Amino acid sequence: MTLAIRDVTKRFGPEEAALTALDRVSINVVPGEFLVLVGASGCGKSTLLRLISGLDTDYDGDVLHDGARIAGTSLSRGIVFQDHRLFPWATVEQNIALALENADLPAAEKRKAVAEHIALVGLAGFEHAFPHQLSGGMAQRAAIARGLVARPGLLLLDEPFGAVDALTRARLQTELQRIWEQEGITMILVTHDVEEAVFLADRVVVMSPRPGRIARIVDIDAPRPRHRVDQDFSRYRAEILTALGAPL
Amino acid sequence: MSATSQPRALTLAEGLALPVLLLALWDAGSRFGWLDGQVWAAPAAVLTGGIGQLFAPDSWTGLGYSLFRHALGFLAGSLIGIGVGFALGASQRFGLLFGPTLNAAKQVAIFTWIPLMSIWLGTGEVAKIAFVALAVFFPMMLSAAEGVRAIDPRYLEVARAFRLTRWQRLRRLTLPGAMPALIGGVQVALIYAWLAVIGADYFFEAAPGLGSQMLQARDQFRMDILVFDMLVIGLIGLLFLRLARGLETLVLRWRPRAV
Amino acid sequence: MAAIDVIAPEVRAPAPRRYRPWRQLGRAALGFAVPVGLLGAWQAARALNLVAEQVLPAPDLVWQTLVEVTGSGELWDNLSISLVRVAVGFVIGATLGLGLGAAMGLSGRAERVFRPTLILVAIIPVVGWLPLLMLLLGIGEALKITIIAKAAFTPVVLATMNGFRQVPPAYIEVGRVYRFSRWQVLRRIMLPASLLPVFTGLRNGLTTAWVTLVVVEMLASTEGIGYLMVWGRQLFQLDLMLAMMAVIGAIGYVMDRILVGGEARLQRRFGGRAI
Repeated sequence: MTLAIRDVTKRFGPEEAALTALDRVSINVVPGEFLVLVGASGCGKSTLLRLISGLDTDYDGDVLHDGARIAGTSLSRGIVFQDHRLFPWATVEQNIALALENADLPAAEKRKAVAEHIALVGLAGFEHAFPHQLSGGMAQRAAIARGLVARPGLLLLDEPFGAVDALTRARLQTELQRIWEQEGITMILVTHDVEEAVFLADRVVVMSPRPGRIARIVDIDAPRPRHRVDQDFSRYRAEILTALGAPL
Repeated sequence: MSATSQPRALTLAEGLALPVLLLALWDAGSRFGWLDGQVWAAPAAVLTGGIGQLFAPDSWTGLGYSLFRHALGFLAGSLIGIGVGFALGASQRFGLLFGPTLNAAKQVAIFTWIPLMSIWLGTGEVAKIAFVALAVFFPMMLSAAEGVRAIDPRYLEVARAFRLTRWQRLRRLTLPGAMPALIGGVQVALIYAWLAVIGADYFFEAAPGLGSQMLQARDQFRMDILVFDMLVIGLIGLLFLRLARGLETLVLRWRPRAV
Repeated sequence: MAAIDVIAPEVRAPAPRRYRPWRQLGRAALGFAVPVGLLGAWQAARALNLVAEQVLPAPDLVWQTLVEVTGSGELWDNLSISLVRVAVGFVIGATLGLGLGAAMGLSGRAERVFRPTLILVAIIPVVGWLPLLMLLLGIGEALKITIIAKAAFTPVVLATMNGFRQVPPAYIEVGRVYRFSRWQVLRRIMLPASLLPVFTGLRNGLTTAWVTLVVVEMLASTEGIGYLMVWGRQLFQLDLMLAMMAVIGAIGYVMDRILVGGEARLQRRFGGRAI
């Protein structure tokens, strides 16, 4: 699968007082890579993610998925929201199965896929739990399973670990990395957490706000699994923080 | 504010004091002729007569008919009410077009429609059931509209992300999402329907039913039957309340326990 | 549901709202589209004689009849009787309800004594009481006033009782701290705190009383606005029947609007639990 973002510009608001969320942003996403968009509030990273997912289709420029301009949502682009957005009235199993509602598979295959993905995210045994019975981390894992179960070529994650505590966040990052290595699908993750970016990414796209632009793209060459206390890790962190204009 | 530290016997006595007093007055009134004997039956007679009703096949037939009309009217009214309510809640245009008219119609007391309905639908079973359906329609419409509006729009995005069709959205998102409000509507509608069932018997043509039974009992000066039927009506009303509450627990299992 | 917090979008449209009076007018006009349309269809159905005249008289005939009946005084004669009945019945029922409700709300003993009897009375709907009361009281004024009073009584007593009970004990504790007398507690804490629920109960009571009036007049009366409507039906003077339907509906609507407005005012002043 290929994803090309070319000269994408997005403006909000009426003509006279428009806010430019994205200003001629271009990225070529490498198939199978783990790409992380990082930046302060207002830099347009979440906006870009929504454009890629197809939830928003009003923009200038081109976002091409496998050569076709994105005109709406698609099962080939999974998405994980920050607020897990599991339906509270459905069990974990039913929530994940929702993604397969429109898939062209026999029922038995769907059940199998759901079960596999529940195991993949480590929620075996919680198939019949309701979201309110799950911790934040578990709910987010279910959301990730829901994003993956339809086997999209691309998974988008919008600050998926922003709402959980630091300890859970670290665990979930490790989980996500394991899943990425196992499934081999392209992932684009948005975060404001620099450490998360360095931990997970092949490339980090540093964005600057008002208007939203790409400041730098940093290649992270470190082998996985990565350790947050490594010298290399710190070096990359510093590089990104500098690109963000943040004090070290 | 009420003391819970007193012995249960005392609480029982307090609760029984008034009913016992009223019963005694009634009995005395009946014995000493203070009350019109033709109209007022003695409490004992009411008791025996009432028990007699338990074994009278006619009274069970009447109850059956009433419950049947209740069920059918409730179903019809709910289906239409939920459909219209969903449309009102989901589509702004529909709401602007039909909302004011429906709200105005809602204000008209339900029994006011009876003479008109008797002209258009006659006075048979169809009219009775339609009347019950009308009584159910308004609360269900309101609760359905409220339920749809209460659904967090972020879930709609999830539906878009997974490309759910209209029907899938209805089944997986709208209906379960609106369920808490709908259950509230069901609770109200069950009672309204029951009132409409009884009332319908008074105004439409005579046919087996609790309301008809009561009117007949009144004509025949049978206070015992009247009291019995009234208690049945009250009991069934209570059962509907219970039913609704049970439904709530069953269908809304997924809700976190309110702290 | 901590996970579903409001998450501000990254970029907010800062546009100031442009004032669009035409749009608001247009929206209000949409609301009139359906009634106007129905009226038009009604007129057309009559003009094309799609249904028999007895089944559906022309709208202008209904209007004419309404005007006639108002002019001849017939409407007011009957309406005034109905309104008096509602007023008297409601006052009786509401007063009893307020009194008993307050007693039950304030005194545990009162609650325990009256509760079983109250449940019995409340659980049987007004419709169910009608035949018994018709038997015991005949079909004169006594019946109507009694049943309207009963109709008003039930919601008022329940709402009043609950209104007093739901006053947060925390407020009463404040009264204790400042060594309020019983009367002061009642006047300064209980009454204002329960005003809103009590008002809601009164509102429900009046609405129920009005509905009950219409029902009892339809069934067992020889004057009154409900009677007029049924009379029109019986004589197949549907224009009269429809005119009366409109009047009954309008009165119910106006009553409710006024009370809802009053409730909203009270809500602003007294509503909400700060604790």
